[in-house]
Amino acid sequence: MAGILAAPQQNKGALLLLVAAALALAIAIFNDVWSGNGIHGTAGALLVVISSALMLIAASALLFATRMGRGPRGTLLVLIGLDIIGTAMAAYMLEATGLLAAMAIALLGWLAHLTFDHAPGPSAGNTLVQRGAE
Amino acid sequence: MNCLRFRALGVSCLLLVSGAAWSEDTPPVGTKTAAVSVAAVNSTSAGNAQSHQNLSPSSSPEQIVGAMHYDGWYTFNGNLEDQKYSQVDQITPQNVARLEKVWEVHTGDVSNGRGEIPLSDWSATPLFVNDTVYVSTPFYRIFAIAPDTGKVKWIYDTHAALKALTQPDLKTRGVAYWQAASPQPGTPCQKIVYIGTMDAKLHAVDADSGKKCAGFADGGVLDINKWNTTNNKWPLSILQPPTVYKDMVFIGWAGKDWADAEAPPGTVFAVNAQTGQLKWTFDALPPEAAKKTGTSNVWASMSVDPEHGILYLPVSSPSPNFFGGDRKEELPLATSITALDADTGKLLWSRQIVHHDIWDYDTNSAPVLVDIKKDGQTIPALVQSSKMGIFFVLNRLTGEPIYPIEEIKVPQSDVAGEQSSPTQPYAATPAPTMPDRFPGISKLADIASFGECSRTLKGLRYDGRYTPPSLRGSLAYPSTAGGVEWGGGAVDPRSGTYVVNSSYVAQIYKLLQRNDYEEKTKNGTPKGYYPQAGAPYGFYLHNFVNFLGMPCWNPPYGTLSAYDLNSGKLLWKKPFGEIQKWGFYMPKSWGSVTIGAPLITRSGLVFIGASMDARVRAIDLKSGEEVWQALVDAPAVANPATYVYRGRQYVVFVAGGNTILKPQASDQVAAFALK
Repeated sequence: MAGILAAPQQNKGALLLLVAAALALAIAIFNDVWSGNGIHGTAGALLVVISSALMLIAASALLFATRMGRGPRGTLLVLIGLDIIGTAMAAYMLEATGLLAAMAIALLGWLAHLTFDHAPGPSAGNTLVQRGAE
Repeated sequence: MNCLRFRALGVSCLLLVSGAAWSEDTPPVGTKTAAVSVAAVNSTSAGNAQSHQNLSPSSSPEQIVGAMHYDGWYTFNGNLEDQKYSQVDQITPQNVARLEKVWEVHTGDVSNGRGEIPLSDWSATPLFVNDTVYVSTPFYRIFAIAPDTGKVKWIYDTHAALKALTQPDLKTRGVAYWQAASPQPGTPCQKIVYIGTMDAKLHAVDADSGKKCAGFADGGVLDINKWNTTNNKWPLSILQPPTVYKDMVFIGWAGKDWADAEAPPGTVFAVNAQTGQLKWTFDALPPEAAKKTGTSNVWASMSVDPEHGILYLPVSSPSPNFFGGDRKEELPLATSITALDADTGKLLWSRQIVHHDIWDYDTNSAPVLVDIKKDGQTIPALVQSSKMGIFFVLNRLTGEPIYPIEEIKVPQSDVAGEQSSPTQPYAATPAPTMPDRFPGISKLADIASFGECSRTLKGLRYDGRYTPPSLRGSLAYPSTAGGVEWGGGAVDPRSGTYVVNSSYVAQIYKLLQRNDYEEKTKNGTPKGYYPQAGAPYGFYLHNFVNFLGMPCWNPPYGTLSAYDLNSGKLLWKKPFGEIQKWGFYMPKSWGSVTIGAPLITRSGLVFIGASMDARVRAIDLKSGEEVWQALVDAPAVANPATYVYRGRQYVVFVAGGNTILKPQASDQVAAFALK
């Protein structure tokens, strides 16, 4: 657990999470404003816009806030995990398959961040974090 | 009169209003001549000069082309017999997956009710006739649309006041069409489209040019409110397109029978199709009773047996809806199926389906006419669906039941002054869509509301079907919300397969002493309160939902069923549609409350919108399985239409929405065809 809460060695997982969150936000906004999808303008559609936006912000923090302490980082990871689950459930009930797919990618990114990004040893892909630490 | 007014509280609907009828212990009658007023009107007076018009006999397009070959949709119900059946068969269960939207029209006539214009509820069946799709809008305009491209040919504007004079929202269910048997080229108004308005006007418009027919009534407009002479408290709103048969136009109307004990009596008017001259009138209420009650009107569509010249009326309940203590005399034609001689308006027979209606169980759709093969005989039959979910299958020439109708003992009212009927008609075959007992409290809704549903139920009176309204509050299941709504069912006349959608809504009926009602409404009338002015009780009606808006009763909330009318057996029954709350779809097994009817095609497909989820669907007639669906902009609460034009079959849906289902309105007409 301590390893997971420490600063990651690389950021591929967080990057994937960031991309998925951005994709989710785009889909959620589109669903909220496009009139032909059965959910536009509903509270549920707005809810996933907000949850996706929060996920994007959190993923950005995970990626770029390299000096974040263990406590905040751990809290952020838990919140992102809950956000993914909640948004995925909402997407399922909204029958928003695109958003559901984005959440599946986000989940992969989140899991990758928990595992591969924290694996010991240098990584050629550990670029952003290393640069941020310089 | 009708009524029904729910308000969407999300998962469930809110509700309603309208008519109530009565009769004490009146057993159903076959041929009946009770106190009704049928006035034959001298048609040589009134009206306007017809110098520029040929008064010619008419035929329906179906009569001209031949019923078995007609590929149009020329009435609200597809044909006069209300079969909602099409002979066309290009789209089949095998290729329906290739159906795609080929054109759409946005009329611009939509309101969310937040401004000065009331909310729009749009349930207009598009007609296809005269090589044109005709549809009315809730702003009371007619759009004439090219059937293959969606290009608008012309628009006619009634300039009707956009005010909720009798209904809470702006409504229309479509237009009607008449044409001369031999239209004279170059002569206007040989083909006429009719549109009604909430302010009681019927406009006659030339079907080719979109110009008003000056020879019809007063410059093309018939004001039926000029005949509103008894208890004239509100205009006779023409929201349902009239029924056209030969050279006659039969006009029913809607009002608000929850507002007053004394209301306009439900007169049906028959006028000449070209001149608007009154030919006959029909009243379901005796004149003496009409003064102190009212309505028992025909606000839904009618059907016609062209072979026998019989007009069938679904007669609604008398006013006020939920208290009959001031109308205890027999009103045998109220809440009935009534058959008239179409040419004269004379009563042939009537069968009451609810005695002394105090539930607002209006007969709310045209009976479906079909020949049934039973015991080696072919019987001219009709099927009357109902808000109670019960089906009455009758010989349409005599009114006698084909499947047994029994008088069952029902709970009695405990309200001072009321005298409820000790029995009510009940038909076990075909099986009612709704169970005879309340399906129980939804555990999910009960837990989510910390037991609110269970606590509420304990305080209510419930003794099964026909539990009367009470001062403590009664559980109504089925309720005025249905059961089967105004769309009714559709039938394949070849096989006798009858398809019908049904809602399952529990509501709470509570009478309020006049003083209590006045106290509750002294600062304005909250939603669900209905005055029944002139009666000793006001009324409060609401859906049985918890504080979250969740239905307190177990699903399903909507089904689609198919019956074999030759045997009376249920063929299949499935949850239909999906409920949506805040955009979230509930489990498919729950089904959806529905508004609007199905249609059947010769190829064995059922097309239907109707559900809360704003989807339109095709169903395999044999299996009941969904074989196609598409999203539209709002719930398609209008009956769909289908036709063939230049060798291609189209299915057209009007997606207008209705706040009974959910707060989503649109102005979309969408046509689908094979790729």
